[in-house]
Amino acid sequence: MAHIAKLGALTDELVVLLTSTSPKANQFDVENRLDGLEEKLAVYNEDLLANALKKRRDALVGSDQKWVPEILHLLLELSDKPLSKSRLEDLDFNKELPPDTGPNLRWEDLAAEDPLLRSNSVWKNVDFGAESSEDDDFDDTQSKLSELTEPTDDSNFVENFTSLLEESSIKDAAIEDLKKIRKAQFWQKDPSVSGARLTTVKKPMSELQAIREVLFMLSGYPTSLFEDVGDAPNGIIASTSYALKHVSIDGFQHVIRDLAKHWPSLKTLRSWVEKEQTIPLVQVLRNAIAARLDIFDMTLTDLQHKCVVMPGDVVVSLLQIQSDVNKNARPLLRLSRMVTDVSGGSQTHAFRYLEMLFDETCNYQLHGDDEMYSYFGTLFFECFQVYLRPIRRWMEEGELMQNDKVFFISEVLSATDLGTLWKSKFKIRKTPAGVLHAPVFMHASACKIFTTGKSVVVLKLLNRFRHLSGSRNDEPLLNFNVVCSPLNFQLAPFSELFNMAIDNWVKSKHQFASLTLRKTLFESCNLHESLNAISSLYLLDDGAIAAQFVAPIFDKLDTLDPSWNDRHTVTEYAQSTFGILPCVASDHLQILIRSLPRKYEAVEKCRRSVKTLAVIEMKYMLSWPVQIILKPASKISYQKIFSFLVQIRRSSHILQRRRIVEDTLGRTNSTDERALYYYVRTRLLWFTQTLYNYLTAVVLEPNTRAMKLTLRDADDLDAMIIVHETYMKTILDQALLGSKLELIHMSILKILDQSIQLEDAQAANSSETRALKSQQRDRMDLSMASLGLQTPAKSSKYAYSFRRSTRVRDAESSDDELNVDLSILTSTYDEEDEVSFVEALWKIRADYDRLVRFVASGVRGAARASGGEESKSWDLFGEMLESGLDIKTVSWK
Amino acid sequence: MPPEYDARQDKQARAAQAKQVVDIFLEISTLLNSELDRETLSVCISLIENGINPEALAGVVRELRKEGEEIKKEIRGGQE
Repeated sequence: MAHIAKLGALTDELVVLLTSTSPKANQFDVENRLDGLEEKLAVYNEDLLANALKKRRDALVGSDQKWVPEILHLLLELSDKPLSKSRLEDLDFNKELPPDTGPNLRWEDLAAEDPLLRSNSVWKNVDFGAESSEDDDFDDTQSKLSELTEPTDDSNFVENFTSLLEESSIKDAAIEDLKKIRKAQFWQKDPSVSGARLTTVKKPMSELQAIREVLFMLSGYPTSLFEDVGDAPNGIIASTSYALKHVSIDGFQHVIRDLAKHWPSLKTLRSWVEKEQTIPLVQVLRNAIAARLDIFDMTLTDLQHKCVVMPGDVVVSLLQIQSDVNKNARPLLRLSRMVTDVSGGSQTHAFRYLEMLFDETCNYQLHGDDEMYSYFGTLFFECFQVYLRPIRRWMEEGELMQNDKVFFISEVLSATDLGTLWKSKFKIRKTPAGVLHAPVFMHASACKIFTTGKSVVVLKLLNRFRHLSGSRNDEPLLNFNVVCSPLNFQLAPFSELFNMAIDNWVKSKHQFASLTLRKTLFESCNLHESLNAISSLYLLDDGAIAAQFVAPIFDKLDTLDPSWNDRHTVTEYAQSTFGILPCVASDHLQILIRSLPRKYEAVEKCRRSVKTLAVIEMKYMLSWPVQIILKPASKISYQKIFSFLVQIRRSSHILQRRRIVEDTLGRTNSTDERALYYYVRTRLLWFTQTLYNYLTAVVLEPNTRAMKLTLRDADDLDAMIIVHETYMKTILDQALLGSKLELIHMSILKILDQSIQLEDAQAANSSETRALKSQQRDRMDLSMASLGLQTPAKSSKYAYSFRRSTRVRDAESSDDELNVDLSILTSTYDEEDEVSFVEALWKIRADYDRLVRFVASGVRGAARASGGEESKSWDLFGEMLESGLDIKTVSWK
Repeated sequence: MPPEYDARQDKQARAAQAKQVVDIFLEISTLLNSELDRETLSVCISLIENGINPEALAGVVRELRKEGEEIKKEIRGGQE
C-alpha cells in the first residue's frame, strides 16, 4: 500500500512536470560536459572509450533529431562513474539480431514447390552403380554392387545435384535435361541384358575418359576408375569393371595398375604437407615439397588442358600420359619415402633429412641421372640455407638462439668466470654415442665453426669486435648452380664439391675473426709481455735478479732465522727484485708459502734439506684473455721448475759462500783431509753447475724460444693453446720432473743436500779446530806466563785472519748480505752421532759417487727406453754427467 | 503500384533511421554507464520528445531505482 501511495505521489509529480514549461536544456553545457568527459577518459588512458564516445557523438551530429541535447542531458544525469565502470565490451550486449525482413525460407515451402525434394532419401549418397535408371523417378534402390562402387565421383555428383536444384528453383521440371545427363553418365549403367546384370562384361569407357580419371586420381581426388580400399598398403586399387574398347582388358589393367602405384606416395606427401611444423628446418622442407607438388599439379593441369582445349592436333594417348606422369612423379616417389622417415624421427634430429638428401644427390650423380641429380641438389641447397642460418649467426655474432636443439653448439647457462670462458662456456653437442650432433657432411668444418664463434664472443668481451655484416656480401653463394655448375664440374663428385664450397664459406668468416683475435691478444692484451714475465719469474731468466731474490732467503735459513718463510717478507724480496724487469708488474706478483710438514718446522731441520724450499710458491696474476692460453693448470708445472731451480741455487749458494782464497784448512788438517774436502767440494760444485747449465741452456732456453716463435705463427686460438701445452709438457719432461723420472729427481735432490752437509761439516770442523786452537793457545799462554814470557797478541792474530776472511767476504757480498758464520750451527749437531770431519767427508764422497752414477745411468737408461724427443736431452745430460765422473770409477757399457 | 510502394519505402527508411538513432543513444548511454536498457531508453526518449524536463526525468528515474532496490531488499529479507 505504501508503494502504491508513493507511486501515486510520483506520477503526480510527473504530471506537474509534464505541464510545466521548462526551458530547453543548455545545449552548450551538454556539449561541454561531454567534451570534458572525453578528455578525462583520454587522460586516464581509456582511449578506446573516448574514441567510441566521440564516434557516437559525431554520428548524432548528422541526424536531425531536435531533442538530442535533452536526451544527452538525461544520459549525463544518469551516468554513474563512467571512468571506472564503463567497459567497451558492454556495447556488444546491445546489439540485436537483425529483424526478419520477411518470412523465412522454409524447407517445407521448397518441398511443396518441387516434388523431387519431398522424399528424405534425397540426401543419401547417389549410387551411380545402381540398377538401370532409365525410369523417371529418382529411385534410390540399393544396388548389389554398392560396396564396391561406393565412392562416387564427387564432382559429378555435385554437378548433378546443383543442376537439379537450379532446375527446381526455376520451377520448371527440366526432366529432359536430366535424362540427357544421366545418359551421358554411362558408368551408371551396369551392362545388363534383359534386366540381368553381367559382371564379367566391363563397362566401356573412352580413352579420353580414362585419361581424365587418371589425372583426377593423381591430383588426389577420388575417382570411379580407382577404388579406395581404405588401409590397404596401396590405398587404392584399379577397378576391374571398366575397359577400353580397343584395348585388351589385361593391357588396360596393366596400365592403370601401374599408374595406381603413384597414388600412395602422392597421398603421403600431400597429407604431410598439410601438417603444421614448428622447426624451421622442417618447415623449409615442407615448403619445398609443397612447391614441387604444385609444379606437379601444374603439369597435370597442363596435360588436362591439352586434352580439353586441344590446341592443334593432339593425340589422346593413355600411354603418353603414363610416360609423362612417370617422369614427373619419380622424384616425388623418392621424396615421399624420405618424408615418412623424417616424420618418424625425433624433432631434434631434423637435420637427418639433410643427410638423406645429400646421399640421394650423391647417388643420383653416381648413376649419371642428371635430372634427378639436379632436382635433389637444388632441394638440398634450399633446405641447407635454413640450416646455415644459426651457423651464420654464431660465426658472425657469437650468439645462439635459445632452445635451439637442432644446432650442434650449446651454451652452458650457468655463470662461468672469464678465465674458463674459452674452455667451458660453450659446448659441442654430441649424441650419447659420442658422434657429433650434426649432419655427416658438416663434421669436418664443425671445429672451425666452433672456434670462430668463440673468438667472436671473446672479441666482443674485449670490446674489439667490428661487425662482420659487411662480410655477408663476400661470403660465397651456396646454391646448386654455383657449387655444382654442370659446365665446370660435371665429373666431380658432389661430396667433394660440397666440402670445398662449405670450406670456403667457413673460411671466409673464420679467418677474419681468428686473425683479429690473435692480433688483439698479442697487442692489446700483451701476450708477449706476459710470456716474458712468466719466463722471468718462473724460469729465472735473469740470473742476477734471481740471485738477488734467493740470497736473503738462503742467508736467513743459514742464520736460523725463522722468518725465512714469512710470506710478506719474501713477497717484498720478490717484488723489489723482479719488479725491476719491465715486463713484470710487481703488484701482480705474490709469494705464497705452503705449510711445512711437521718434522721440518724447526728452522734447523728445514735448512738441511733443499726439499723444504719447494714451499715457496710464486703467484703471478694474468689478465683473463691471456689466461685462455696460459692456463692456470700450467702454473703447477711452472712452479715445479721454479722450485727445482731454486733448490739448485741453494746448493751452489752454500758451496760458494766461502771463497777459498787461502788454504785455511792447511793449518790444522792433514793433507788427505784437505784433498778430500777440496775434492768433494769441487765435485759438488761441478755437479750443480752442470745441472743448472743443462736445465737452462739445453732445456729451457731453446724450448721457450721455439714456443714463442710457434705461438706467433699459430693459426687460431686453439692452436696456440696446444702449442703452449706441448711446450709445458716438453720442458717438464726434459727437466727430469716428469713422472717417469721421479726417482732420479729424488736422487738429485739428495746430491744437492750433500752440499749443505759438506759445508755444515766443514763449519763444524773449523769451529772445532778453532776451539782446539784457542785451547792450545790458552795452555801455551799459561805455560808462557808461568815461564814469564810475553804472550803474543793472540786475539789480534786470530782476529786478523778471521777479519780478513770476513772482509773478503764482505767485499764480494752485496750490502744486505748477512755476515753468516756457519760455525753457529755446530750446536745443532749435538743430537747426531759425533763423526769426525774425515769420516763425514768420506761418507759424503761415497754417497756422491753412488748417487751421481745412479743418476747418470738412470737417465741414460730412460733415454734408451723412451723414444720421444726428451730422450735426446736425457741422453745429453747423461753424457755430461758421465764425463765428470772419475775415470777409475766409470764403468764401461 | 509505385506510389504505395514509395510510401512503404519511405516509412521503412524512416523507421530504420529512427532505430539507428536509438541505437546510437543506447551506445552512448552504455559508455556513460547510465544503466538504461533499450526499452527504458526508448520510453525516456518518447517522454522527452513529449516535453518532459530531462533533469526532472533523471531525478524520477533515480527515485524509482532507489524504490526498486528497497523493495527488492524487503523481498529478500522476507524470504530468509
